[in-house]
Amino acid sequence: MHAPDDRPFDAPTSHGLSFSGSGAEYFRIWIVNLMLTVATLGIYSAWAKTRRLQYFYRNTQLAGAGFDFRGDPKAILRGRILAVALLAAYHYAFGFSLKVGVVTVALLLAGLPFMMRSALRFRLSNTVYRGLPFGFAGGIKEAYIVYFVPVAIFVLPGALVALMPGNPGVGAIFLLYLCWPLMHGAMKAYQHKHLMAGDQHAAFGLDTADLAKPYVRAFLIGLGVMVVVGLSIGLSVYLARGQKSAAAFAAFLPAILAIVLAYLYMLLMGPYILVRMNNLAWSATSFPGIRITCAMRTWPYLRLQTVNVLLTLLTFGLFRPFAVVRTWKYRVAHLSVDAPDGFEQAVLAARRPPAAAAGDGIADFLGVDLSW
Amino acid sequence: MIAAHFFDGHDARLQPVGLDVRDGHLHVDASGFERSFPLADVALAEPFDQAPLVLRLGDATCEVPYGPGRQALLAALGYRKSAVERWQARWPAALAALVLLLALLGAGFVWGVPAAAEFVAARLPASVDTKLGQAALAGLEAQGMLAPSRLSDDRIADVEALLPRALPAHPRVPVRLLVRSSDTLGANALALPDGTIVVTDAMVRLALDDDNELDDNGKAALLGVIGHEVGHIERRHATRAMTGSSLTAAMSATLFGDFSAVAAGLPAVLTQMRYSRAMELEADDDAIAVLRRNGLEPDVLADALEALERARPGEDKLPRWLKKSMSYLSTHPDTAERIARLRKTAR
Repeated sequence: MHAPDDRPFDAPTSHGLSFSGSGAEYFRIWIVNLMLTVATLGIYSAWAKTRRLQYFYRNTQLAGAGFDFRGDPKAILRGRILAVALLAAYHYAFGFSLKVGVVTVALLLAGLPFMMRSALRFRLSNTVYRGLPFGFAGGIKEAYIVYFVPVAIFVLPGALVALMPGNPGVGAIFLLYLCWPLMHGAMKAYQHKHLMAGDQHAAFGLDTADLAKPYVRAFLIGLGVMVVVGLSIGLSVYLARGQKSAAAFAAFLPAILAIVLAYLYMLLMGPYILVRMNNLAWSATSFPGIRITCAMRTWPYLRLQTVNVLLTLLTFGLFRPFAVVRTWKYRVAHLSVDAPDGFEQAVLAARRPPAAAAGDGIADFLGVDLSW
Repeated sequence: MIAAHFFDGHDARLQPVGLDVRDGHLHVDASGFERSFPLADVALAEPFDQAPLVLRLGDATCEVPYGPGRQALLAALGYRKSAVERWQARWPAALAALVLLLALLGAGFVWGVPAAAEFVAARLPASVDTKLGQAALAGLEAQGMLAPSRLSDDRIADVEALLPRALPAHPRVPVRLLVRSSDTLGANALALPDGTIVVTDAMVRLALDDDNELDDNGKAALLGVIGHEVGHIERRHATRAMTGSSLTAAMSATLFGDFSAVAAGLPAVLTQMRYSRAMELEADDDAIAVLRRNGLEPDVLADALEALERARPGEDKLPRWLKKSMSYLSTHPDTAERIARLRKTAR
């Protein structure tokens, strides 16, 4: 078939995201934020967070327009006060009495999934692009299905140890971690499936099992590593039999190399899974007329994070704002948006009501990744 | 006229417009489109160096891309930087924030945490001390750090008989003394918050003479050590130090986002806890008073400390993270200074 090359070629249909901020500029914002947060015993942290998000969002542009964050710092502060209260309650509850402890754990189990959902709603409904807020339409019931088990894994071990001290069966709860890939996949799917831009619902073409695949791959690679390690150690033991010390050392070289390999594996798998899952999840997310592609690569990302960690340690943390900017730039640069019929054609509509903000603080305080 | 992008807040259309500030109004002009907003209704979001300016006009938004007209627009809108914006705009001020931050953190750890800990500890009921002490002892036993003493019953009785001589007329809490064997603690003595003093076998053995007997000298040395621990108990040092270290842990967890320290639990707090220098010196003063009351000179405690120093030479000079074994010296810092001070008092 002949290609219709007489059609006028207008704007490109694929748009990349760009970031106009710099590490030096963010360093100054960061250090003032940090100082004021410490000086106000943490109260300013809500305003600091707002300014940080605004800095990153407003400097991020897509197809001629920027993003913005419009969250109310006072709402974030309320969320953080609640988070501190919950954490303190969890930490000291069993010190008071068993009853207080059980009630606290029950409250946490019942409340945290709800708060995770509130956090998603707060963050997204306050993120604005082209004058329209994003949103999150995930239901409460599904939030409980998705978040209850991970929350239980986080909350219960401490509680069970307090209830049944010395019972070796308590350790069984950690077996639940074996299901972590599925839980992580379910959380990611929940987060992406219910995204909204204006009143447009996202379509998401993957399910939990698809999203857990990077873990399966990592596990298979791990099996391979284990076989190599086992064989190497076996070889070493075989070679070392009846050897003198110097020769024995040489014989143990395979074992040493194998252990180094095992360590490297554990170091590499975290970023690998993060990158793969991010790519999968974002590339499967689309809006009517708009497709998203995320193409982060494991090795460059790993190199970036290694440099970040090393320099942050060497500078006693002062490199951190630069590291954050580098990471953000990398993620933004590998995200692109495809609109075959033109961006302007995808006209979105109407606002959504604001969500309860209480959840955002707790998710941030506990370091739960809300993605972006 | 400054070129800008206009979004009406109802759909995602990007409308290229021209902005103009006239007669106290912001005029937004495009072909077939004209609106004006009183300046009082125009909210300018914090401008960042390279990011577009964001003007919020009720539901609508205007983005002014980075470019030459920007300063003029800011001036026309009457924009003035807030204190924080001025602060983060300049390098010297930002670096001053770094210095101030370090000073604040330093002051917080040196004065803030101890003051807060004293405040909290003074309000903790005595039942907390009892619970903390019992939990700490149970924890040490569960971890195998304390085991029943391997000394003879007579020897243990000798040591226990020293306790009444070290107690004040009206003790704050009932004090008991336990002799326990411990591989990990070495020659050591601990004062738990509930009034339990633990003396390790190795500590007792250190006080024995050449014939493996507990002579008057050895008894005096142990009396000094016990008097020191009684001082800690009478002054409630353990509860106060524990409050301090858990506050420090909570503070650093908030700063650095690591909750493992907070969650690590009591035994960890206890073994990592260090009394402040002031607390140690106070307890030494109490030990001196006990010795004097028993007609002895503080020299014997100095001798005991020197014996400990000989048993573990130079350990006190190692940085804390290098000290793997938990000897008496590593939980009681500045031994050389304490010895000198005891000798001076004796003279």
